Amino acid sequence: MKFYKMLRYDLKNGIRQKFWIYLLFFVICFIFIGNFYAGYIRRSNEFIDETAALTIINLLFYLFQGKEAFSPELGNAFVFPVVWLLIFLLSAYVTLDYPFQNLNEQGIQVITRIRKRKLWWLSKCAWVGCCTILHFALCYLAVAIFCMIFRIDISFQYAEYVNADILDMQLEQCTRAQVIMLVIILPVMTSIAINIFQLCMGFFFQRIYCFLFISVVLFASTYFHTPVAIGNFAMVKRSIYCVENGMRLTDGLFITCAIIVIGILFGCIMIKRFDILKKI
Amino acid sequence: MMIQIENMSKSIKQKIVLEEINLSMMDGKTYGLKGINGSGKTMLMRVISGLIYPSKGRVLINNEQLGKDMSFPNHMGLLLENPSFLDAYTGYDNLKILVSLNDYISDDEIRNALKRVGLDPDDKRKYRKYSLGMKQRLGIAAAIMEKPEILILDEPLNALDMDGVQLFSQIIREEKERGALIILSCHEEEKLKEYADILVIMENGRIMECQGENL
Repeated sequence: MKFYKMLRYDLKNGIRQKFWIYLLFFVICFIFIGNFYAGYIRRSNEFIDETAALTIINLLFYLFQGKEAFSPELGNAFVFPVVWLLIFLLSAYVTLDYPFQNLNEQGIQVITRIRKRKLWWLSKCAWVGCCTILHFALCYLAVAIFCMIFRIDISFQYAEYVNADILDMQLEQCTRAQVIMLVIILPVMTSIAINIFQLCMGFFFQRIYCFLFISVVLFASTYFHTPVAIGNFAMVKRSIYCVENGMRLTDGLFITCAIIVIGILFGCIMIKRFDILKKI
Repeated sequence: MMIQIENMSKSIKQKIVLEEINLSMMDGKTYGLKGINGSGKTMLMRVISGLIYPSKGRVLINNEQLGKDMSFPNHMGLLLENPSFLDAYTGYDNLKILVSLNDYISDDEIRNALKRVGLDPDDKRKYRKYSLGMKQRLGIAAAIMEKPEILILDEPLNALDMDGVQLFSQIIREEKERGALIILSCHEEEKLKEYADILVIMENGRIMECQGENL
């Protein structure tokens, strides 16, 4: 019961604090998709012979495509996948401040009334999870509303020519479950894992350095094609359905779940002896 | 209610902030912590309130050890440094949010606590519009409203006008009569002697002297 009360308090106050960022993100997603759709329309003459229509899944592939594995020896200039980076950086940013900042403010009154440090920590972890899910839910909502407005097919099918010709992505034919993993489950789980890791870093470092570190991890993920750079699991172009030595979905699920569980357990141990001092 | 601090020391980033603290505190008494800035008063309050744990020694509250048998004291009211609440809510709503965590008291008791500190429970102003003095009063109200067994007040007279100080003096008298164990710090020596039964003089993180009941 106390956990529920604590979480309700956190959800209400933590989301309210960054409400304008959630709103901004919703608008940004809309703009990104609009930009992609405008490009698709401009090239529609090229696809006159194609029978398959653009679908919502194509739009989600666009948002979560990331970047193909980079090979500098080919002489290509490296270009950051701005859309992908913005989605994950904003997710880290909205979950950055509230937990430890609140502890310096009214949170002291809250934790001394709840009287259980572990409960405080678990509530914050749940809050991070909920906020990350909300962040991505707004993204999916923006795409869905866009599809409804422009009468784009909302189904699990996708037009392969769009992937190949516009997104420059040779994607195998995927089942519905695989599509859900690629554009919903893995991006969300990867972001939750990153944000929980950022939360754990808050025990040792100031928030700005935590965010900077996470930014480096995300940027590194776009450059290096390795499971160590966890962002790889959230990029459609790095998946095993796109490249031969790509990231397996099951590996991604396992690693992100492991990071989340280890992060939560680590925090349960750390919070027991953590000195609650001003100016964290 | 009894607090026993035994051979307690605390270091933060290799700096000793509290050293060899031995102190026993009983309910119904008021303990005034006296010392210059940096003498360790707030740190000692943070240790007793469970916000930080000793590097050495222990703190027992009714024979239960803080950090081992419990994370925080039961029934504690706390005012530490500059109190902070949620900007988007009124004073009453801020207290209601805190009360909802445990549901120890009713809405009337929240209103009563606000009146005791000289705030209007029906004031529609949000916390962000409060003056420093009003914020301090709200902090005191939050500390006393649930009638705690232990009351820890760090510089409670900060930003209070003469009326506020008089109201606070009345509150201390009432809490004493109720039998609360009160620990407070104050830079105004006269006021500290007025409130405290026992004066604990601190310097460089150590207790130099305890002056008895009749100050």
